[in-house]
Amino acid sequence: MHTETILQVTGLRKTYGGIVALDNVDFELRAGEIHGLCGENGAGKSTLVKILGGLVAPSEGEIKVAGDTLRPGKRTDPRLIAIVHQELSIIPALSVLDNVMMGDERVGSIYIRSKFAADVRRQVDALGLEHIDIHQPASELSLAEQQLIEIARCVLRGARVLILDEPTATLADSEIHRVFVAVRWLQKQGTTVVFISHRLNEVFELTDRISVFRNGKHVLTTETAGLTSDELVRAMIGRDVARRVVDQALPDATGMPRLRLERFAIPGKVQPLNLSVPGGQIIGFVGQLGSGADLLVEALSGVRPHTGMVTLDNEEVRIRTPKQAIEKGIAYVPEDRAGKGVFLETTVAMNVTASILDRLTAFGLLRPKAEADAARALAVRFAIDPRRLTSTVSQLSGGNQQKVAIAKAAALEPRLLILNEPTRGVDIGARAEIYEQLREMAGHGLTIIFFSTDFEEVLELADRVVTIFRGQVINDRGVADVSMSSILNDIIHGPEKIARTA
Amino acid sequence: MSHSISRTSTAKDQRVAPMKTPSSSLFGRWLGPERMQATGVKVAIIILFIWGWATIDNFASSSNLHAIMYSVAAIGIAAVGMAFITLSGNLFMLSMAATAALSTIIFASFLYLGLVPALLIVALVGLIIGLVQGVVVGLGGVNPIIATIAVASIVMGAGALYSGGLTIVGKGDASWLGVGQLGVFPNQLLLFLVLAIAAEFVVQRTRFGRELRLIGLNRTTATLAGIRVGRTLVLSFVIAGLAAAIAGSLFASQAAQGNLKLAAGLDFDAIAAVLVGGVSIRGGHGKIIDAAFGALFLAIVSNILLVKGLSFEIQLMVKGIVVIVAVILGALAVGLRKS
Amino acid sequence: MTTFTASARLRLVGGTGGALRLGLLIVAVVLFSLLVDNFGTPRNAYALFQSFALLGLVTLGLALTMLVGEFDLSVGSMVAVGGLITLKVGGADHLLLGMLAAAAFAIVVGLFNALVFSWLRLSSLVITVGSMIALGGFAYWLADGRVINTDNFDAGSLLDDSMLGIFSLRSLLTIAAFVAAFGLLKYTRLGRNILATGSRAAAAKASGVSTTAVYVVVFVLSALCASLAGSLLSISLATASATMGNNLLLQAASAAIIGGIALSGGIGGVGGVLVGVLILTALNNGLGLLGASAASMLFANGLVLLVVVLLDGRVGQWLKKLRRPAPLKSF
Repeated sequence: MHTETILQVTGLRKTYGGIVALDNVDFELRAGEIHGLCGENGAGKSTLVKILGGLVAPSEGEIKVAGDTLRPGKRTDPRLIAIVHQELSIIPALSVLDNVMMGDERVGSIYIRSKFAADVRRQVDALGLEHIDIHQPASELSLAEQQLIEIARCVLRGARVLILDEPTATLADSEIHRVFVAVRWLQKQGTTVVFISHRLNEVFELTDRISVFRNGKHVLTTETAGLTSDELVRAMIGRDVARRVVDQALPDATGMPRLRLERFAIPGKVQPLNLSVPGGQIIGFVGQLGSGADLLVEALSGVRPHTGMVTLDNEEVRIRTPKQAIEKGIAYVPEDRAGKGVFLETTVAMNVTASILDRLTAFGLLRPKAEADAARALAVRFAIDPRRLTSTVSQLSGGNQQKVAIAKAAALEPRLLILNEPTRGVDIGARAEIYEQLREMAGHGLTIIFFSTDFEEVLELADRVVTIFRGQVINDRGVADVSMSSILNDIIHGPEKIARTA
Repeated sequence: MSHSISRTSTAKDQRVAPMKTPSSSLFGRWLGPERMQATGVKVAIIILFIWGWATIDNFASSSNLHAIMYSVAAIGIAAVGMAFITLSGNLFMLSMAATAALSTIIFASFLYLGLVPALLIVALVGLIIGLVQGVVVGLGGVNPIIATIAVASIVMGAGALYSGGLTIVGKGDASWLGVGQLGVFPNQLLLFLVLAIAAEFVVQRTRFGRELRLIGLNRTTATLAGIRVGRTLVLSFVIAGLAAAIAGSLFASQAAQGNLKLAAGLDFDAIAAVLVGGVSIRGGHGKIIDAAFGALFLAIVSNILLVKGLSFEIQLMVKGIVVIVAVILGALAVGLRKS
Repeated sequence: MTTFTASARLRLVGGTGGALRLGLLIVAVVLFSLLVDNFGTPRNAYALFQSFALLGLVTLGLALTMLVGEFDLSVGSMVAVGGLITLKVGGADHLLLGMLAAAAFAIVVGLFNALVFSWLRLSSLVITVGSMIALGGFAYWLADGRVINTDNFDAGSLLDDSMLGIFSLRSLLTIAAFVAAFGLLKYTRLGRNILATGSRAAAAKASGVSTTAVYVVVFVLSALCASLAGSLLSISLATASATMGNNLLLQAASAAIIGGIALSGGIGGVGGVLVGVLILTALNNGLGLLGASAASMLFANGLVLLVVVLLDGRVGQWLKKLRRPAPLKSF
């Protein structure tokens, strides 16, 4: 079948400061195969891809493509290796034809499109897009179609190896089928395809061989036919992480729930769900990109439109805007703290008091003493050095910045605190402090809902874990009843488990 | 409670970038990258003044000083109003000259009712013009530059229609505003000082001012934090419109007539004052009082150029160059701050 | 083979927006012809195209900067400076030299705008406000408090003599500029790069487009167009003043936005701009014939811009919602 080696990676190593992103990786691709690449976030897949694309130079190691050794750090010739990233580089205003021809050296200073129309038409048709007009603006295409245009672009330039990074993450079922057709066609043309995905069922369906990366190491490569789903998952996460010992009982579930969602849905993204959360409980929502789990927390904060009924302490509330949500006692800590969570270019004090100005105002005037006291109290509470109150937030570490963001939200004394990726980019020490603070607030009755892609965080922080797959709630269990592998299974398989016998 | 600011947290803080001098120290307050330009302008004012006094005859004469004071008053008021727009991240309001021009006409037309009633009517007009722009930009999300250009034409056209392009001579006594003085200081200057200090107070000490600044720093974060963005932006435009209207009244009272040409160049002067004074174009940085100092700086520069016999045209060019240089310096200072 | 001629035909006109624009122009022309005396005469058509000659050229340059998502506020002042330099340097006998001098100055200004913008990464609105002010002052300095005249009326006649009854050399030059711009955007790689940069600069850059080169071209062309328009106007009028460019910025912005150039960048075409300019010139021409004063026209132009820009925001969003792709047919 596929025996000739087209890509050979030997002894690849990449360190960033003290962190080892890739550790002595040997890897090989056979010509003409469809090769699946699996691993958790941070396992090293994206680093490998960046090095293969020549965007990043390895610390050690060698890469050979079709016999030629790649120059480290130099952009790889797209005719050898082409990468279709998750964030598409489609230019919306340009036509399909323009997008396919983008970056192609055959386009001279004078650009007569009719010269290329036939080739582009043929290429686009081959990928199953006969119904689109190559002169229409790319913005009119669906995401899947845009994805295929990206692929067409790489193929037209003649890539030997095509790397697809999470190509189906944001697609609907019918659209995924199209990508499959395209990939199989590519294989027939002799292109080698690397299919990076968390969607294990798709990986099983499409690929000839699968490789698994974990913690920067290449741990497994085997024929897809002989592998079971369980074996794959086990390879991806290694030993099961010990479950957190939960010695405190779940908060009293009798009595009035703090939050109740009825037929709560995000049209097109999240199917109607019902949820009931008592006061003082910490819930973690987990799901892959495209599952809608992150959109759920946005919707609950008033950032995203939604349908259905939201009841807070037995009062039905409308939360169509962030302001409305805040008025009802819902505070939000967004995922992009530099862009949305904090005011980078001003002091910590001005940040933490930003949401509670009404409380610190008398007759329209700010009360400096009240403001200073409030800021100090918040700093102390969130383990921010009070001497730093006058420092600019941009000067703080990521962890401290996140504490500022959380303090700002907590200042509102909300009934419900919502966090999107609570400790992304935060060092371990600050992480622990943040978890401690969140648990303490929960202990005083605050209900916390968070979304995270970090399973360890979910297991560490949550009392209750809700797993979501393609807009549907798969499981809703206490943290004592879940494990890393159970979470992973839920979010990548969804409701059906693949039965694969060894 | 100090035990909860555990050893772990301060140790980690020290692991991170060494704690920069907190901005409450004198150094940070005046010479740090944040305030460098504003301080520089104040120093430049002193230097220019001394230089002018030393090298130019009659520079410090009573009549010349009065000329400076009169020229800084109206532009300073407009600059203070413009600063509200710039601080909130909406760049500039290019309708100030038009609003002021219309105000001169309205002021002259209604002067027969008395100085104060005329001022109130003018203020109302300025308020409405500002309100329209505030709604369009703050609530409608339209690009502020384009919106204010459009409104400028509407207002100018309306003014020309109303006055027929003619000068309107007011039937009343505006001398208190026009030439009146308290001691050696023209009332116009005192009005400017009062308004500038009031505006500074509003931005530094009121909730509205704080929200204005936060919106200018990061509009998305402000929205997510529950700040009343729409309302604040509308109010900022109302204030700017008012400021332009008052500036127009000052022009009219001084000339004892209403004429659309009296306010020519006010947009440019106000923008120049704001930028030179150190209010950042990006929004959120700077103080209102900086714009006032910027106006003073430019007034002295204009005066020096004038006294030295350089033409009005050269003054205009100098102003344009000054704006560009200030913008460039400001951007470089940002680079400094980030490093 | 699949046929999509319907959508292709629509696209030729510029999409639904383009169709609306064209319709608006036709309605305006017909209405004015019926309601206003003298509107439909060849003589008035000539006057209309003379206005078009000036506004069209300026709008074309401005539209190019808008296509990359930026905005050149200094075009109005540049017109005045262009005219003044032409007459000051050209005197009576060397008008061509004067034009070249004005063009050279424009190139410098355009380069300055583009490079400072790229370097400082500030909004072009800010940079060009500074240029606008500086150029305004420069214009006043050049004019020295009066108007500059030239004795060479022949050149003006050359430019303005009517051709085919309704055109003149000046208006034909503007039309030629439109054709050239059309060719640039549609048939050159640079033109594609301009649209790419305006649509998604980061992706364009990742694909190898030099966005700095694009910005330079666009701002230089904008300044050149304005300068050329000013040169031609001053030769035609045999006079140049510092206030020549007043209101042009306003009208050019309106014409461009009506012409379908989105403020956000990447959207719009030369054909649309042409229609937009014609709509605005027809409007002002009609108002003039109705006896509207300069003041009312100023008022009307401002109102038009405000309405258009409000709609560009709200209606544009609404139109985008309609244009979202239909749900996929099953495979």
